[in-house]
Amino acid sequence: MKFLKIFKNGLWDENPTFRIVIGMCPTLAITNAAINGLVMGLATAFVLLTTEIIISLVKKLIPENVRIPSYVLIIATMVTTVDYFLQAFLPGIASALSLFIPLIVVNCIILGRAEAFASRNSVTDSIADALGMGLGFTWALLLLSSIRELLGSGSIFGYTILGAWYPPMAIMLLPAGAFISLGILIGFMNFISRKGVK
Amino acid sequence: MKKSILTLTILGIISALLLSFVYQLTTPLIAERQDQDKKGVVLAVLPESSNYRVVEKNGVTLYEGNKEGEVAMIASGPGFGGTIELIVGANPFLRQIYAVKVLSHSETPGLGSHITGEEFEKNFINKPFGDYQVVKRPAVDPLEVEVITGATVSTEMVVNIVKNAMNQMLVAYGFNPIDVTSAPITTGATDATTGATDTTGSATVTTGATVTTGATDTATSATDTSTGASSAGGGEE
Repeated sequence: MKFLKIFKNGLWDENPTFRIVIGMCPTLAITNAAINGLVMGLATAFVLLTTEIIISLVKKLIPENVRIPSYVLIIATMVTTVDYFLQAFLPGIASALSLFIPLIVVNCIILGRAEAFASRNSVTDSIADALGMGLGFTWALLLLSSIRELLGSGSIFGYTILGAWYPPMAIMLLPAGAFISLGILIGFMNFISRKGVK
Repeated sequence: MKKSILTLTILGIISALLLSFVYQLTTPLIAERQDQDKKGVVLAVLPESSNYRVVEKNGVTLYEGNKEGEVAMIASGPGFGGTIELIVGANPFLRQIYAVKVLSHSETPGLGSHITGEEFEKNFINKPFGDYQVVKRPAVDPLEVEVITGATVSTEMVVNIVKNAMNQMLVAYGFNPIDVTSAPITTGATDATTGATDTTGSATVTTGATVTTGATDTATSATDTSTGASSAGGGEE
């Protein structure tokens, strides 16, 4: 029961993108095509899961005063691993996301969850949190990037949805489009949640 | 204090071991993939070759296909966001380009990144060697390349790199290079160059002097419309 509750927490109640609004750098930068959003989300989720497991396991061994460098070291190791594996097995996507994969190291969702959750909770709870937060981040990026790709290129995952009659809005693919769509989505999420309370 | 140092040292050693393992595991795979990609790319721009050999001529590395006269060459140059690297497949003896493919770039996603698309690559499929010009309307002449909306600089830089590659290839095989105009990098000047290749420039001069004024004006306004559309859509410039 607790597992599900923590899982749902990341997925919706404390969604990193729409509710806590952290990890904005990749959110705004790479969500110009649905595939980029999906892979970025999954890569982050994977790093989050492995680091949260490791940190919750070794939390008692790490002295308080060096915990941040230790977490960064663990995170950096996992990110580099993901980077190499993506380059070896998914070179196309690796080149599309190029710089942003190494930058997962400084994604505050990961360090934030390591500090705020994994260093204080059991392994099982940390797995629930990592899955919730990771998938919460993934669906948020997928939604945002699908909207931007649809309006900016008339397609989703490279498949044309809106035909030749639709003039693509190039602004949706630029940073400005990311801010506009993210703002509208956050407003929309707030609207839904408020309705639920009443 | 001692415990902190020990913890970080141990963590560092474990990370290093793990990473060297991952590196050993993935490096041959990455290298092999890049090799395969390169081979595929070279053969993709040489229509009738099934294999190729690497030769060095005049300081330029060339990939000569097993079909007589087919040559591929990797060329690079500055783009809007960074270096653009592309491969040109051509026949310098017949002065014909078979195809151009962009290998790597860091142009604006969604705008300049369209230089990798099929739509743009069509501009160079089975085309003659020559002084290519970027135009802000659908291309009519074989030596015209329609600008990518919102990515004038990217388009011009690709055209420049292709022109340079053609010349390097011609020189490498002992021919005279083509006389080309190189597009300047600054936006304002770029527009001027593009304008000069359009009918816009001459139309303004002849207006009122000749009988064909009406027709020329139509052409001019048509050009203006497409220019307007491309600048409205783009943020790159």
